[in-house]
Amino acid sequence: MTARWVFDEGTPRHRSYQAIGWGLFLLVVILVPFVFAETWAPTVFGNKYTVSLGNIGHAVAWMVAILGLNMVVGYTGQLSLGHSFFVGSGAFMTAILVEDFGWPFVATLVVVVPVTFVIGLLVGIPALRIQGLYLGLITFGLAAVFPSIIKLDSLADRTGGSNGKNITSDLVPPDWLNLEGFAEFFQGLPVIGGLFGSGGLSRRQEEAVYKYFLLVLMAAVVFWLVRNLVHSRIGRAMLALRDNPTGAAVSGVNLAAYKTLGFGLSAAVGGVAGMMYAATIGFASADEFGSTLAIFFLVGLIVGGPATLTGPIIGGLVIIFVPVWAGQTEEVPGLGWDLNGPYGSLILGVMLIVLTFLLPGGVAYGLRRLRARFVQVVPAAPTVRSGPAPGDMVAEPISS
Amino acid sequence: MTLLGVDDITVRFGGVIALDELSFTIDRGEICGLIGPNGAGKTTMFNVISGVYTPNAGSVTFDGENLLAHPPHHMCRLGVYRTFQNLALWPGMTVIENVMVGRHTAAKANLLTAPLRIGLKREEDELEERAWAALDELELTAYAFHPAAGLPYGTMKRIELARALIGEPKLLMLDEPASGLTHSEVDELADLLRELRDRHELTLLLVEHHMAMVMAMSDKVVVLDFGQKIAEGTPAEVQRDDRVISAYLGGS
Repeated sequence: MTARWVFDEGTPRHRSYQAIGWGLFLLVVILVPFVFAETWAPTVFGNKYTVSLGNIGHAVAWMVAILGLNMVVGYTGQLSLGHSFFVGSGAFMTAILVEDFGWPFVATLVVVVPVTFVIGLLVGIPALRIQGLYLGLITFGLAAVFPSIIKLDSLADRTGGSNGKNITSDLVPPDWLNLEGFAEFFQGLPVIGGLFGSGGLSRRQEEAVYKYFLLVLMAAVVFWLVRNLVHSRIGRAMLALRDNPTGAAVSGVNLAAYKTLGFGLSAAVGGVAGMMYAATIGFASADEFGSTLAIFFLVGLIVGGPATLTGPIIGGLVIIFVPVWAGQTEEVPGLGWDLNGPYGSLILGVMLIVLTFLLPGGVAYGLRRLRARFVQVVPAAPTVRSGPAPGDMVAEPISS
Repeated sequence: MTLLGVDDITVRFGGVIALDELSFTIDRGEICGLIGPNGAGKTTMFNVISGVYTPNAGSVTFDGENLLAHPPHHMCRLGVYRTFQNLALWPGMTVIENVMVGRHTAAKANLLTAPLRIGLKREEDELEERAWAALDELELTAYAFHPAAGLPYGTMKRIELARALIGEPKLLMLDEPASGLTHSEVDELADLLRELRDRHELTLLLVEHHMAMVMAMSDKVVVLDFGQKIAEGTPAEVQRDDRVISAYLGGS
């Protein structure tokens, strides 16, 4: 099977292909908030499905959370069923610092990232002796116990106990940012203008659009950092540890250090996701971060595609929108079933089972195979790519 | 000049004595064959040198260092690398990435510099170029961007060799490099290993069942039987040794 379009890596043609791809992606990211500023609610087969900007923001936070889980499950191959613990810690630390101490949201990362990183390292220590299902069980315990810790009487003053904690948002769009103008511009476009609704943005909508852009920007930064990391010797060492620990050790990978590091990174990225959650939802509740959420993160990762960067993006959308839409499905045409009730998790579960059979490796892997039918990028040899490097960088000439 | 000195190594697994006061030395630049019937303790010896097993007694000196004081992941930094009888590649990565891991300890990117791309491009380019050169030397560049899985056995073995070479080892230990290869491949491998030894100033320790190859290649052969060294010398000397003959042919 040959692909329809073949590109040689690094050629101008390949660069333009990449630029067009990224340009389209960016365009969608920019247009989305204006399309959904007013909650979108199409009716399909008699069921009304909604897409709100609030849900999208929530999904973006969970993309980052799943990216964190990916570090430990996808890249180092250790089972973690306690990721909600780290995300919850991040969310509550942010909530307390913002609400009680008046910190700006982003500044809380100075505390959230190091603290969750250390918590992650500590959790990683038992992982040195325990593997597989038992490690899953231990981490699952963390997730299960998190709500009770938050509700402890001694902490309730700060965490809000079982009532949860409200966070007053200081994320209001600055005056120079004319979101209204953008909305009017998009509405005025021919053909597609209708997608953007009509009339100006309300104050609340403007805030939602602004928050969306902040969240997307934060997510983009985190994804970029992680992408760089996994494409370095550290990421390769993690994959080596996952695929064949003995070979990794012989190649100089300190297995104990990298296993623990996997948990530390996973927790730190999860902490950032918690901050993003607090920023977008404006409320942190203890019961949100229990074992169910931990399972949802894992489902998102497996469905999306472990050890990929697109996987967490897909996973975040799936674990938010599938339950929402499943809940809104009241009838399936042709079947006389009444589907009123909590069917979200059920449908998510069925999806997991079906997808593991149909698309091993997740949606990201499926998309990759689909793309391979149309586009093939021929990698360039390193020597061609960079030419002879100066001085000691030159690999020794090979006599043949 | 001695590179590796194994001195009175004893390994017991419960009541079984896998290695019994085993001593031998390998000189710099030498090709040493370690042979013996199944269960003689060859792989155990490998695992002791590469730090996987801790012996009950004895010492291993490498280039003036006490090897037993180091954990397994230090070996490659000290200059000891090994390949595996059953392959230890990483199917989740491409062939060139597999090879790049061979320089894990020489590369410098850390938790701060890697995410922020400080010096990362330069390091990655250098690693890729070195990996490409190693692949080129072993005629593997055609596979560079394939996943390291589902390739012919002999190819995978050469990928392991490339991964070892890129780390610039002093001592390369090969665990049954000829197993699973065809006749002509075995001859090619023997030539290749000798060439690599000369070009990269390697010292080779070879565990191998393919007698013709061991005898043709080795400067020195150490024969084990039931955890004990029963002979040591040039291939010609060893082949004449009565104890070696009886160990291989049976008898007392």
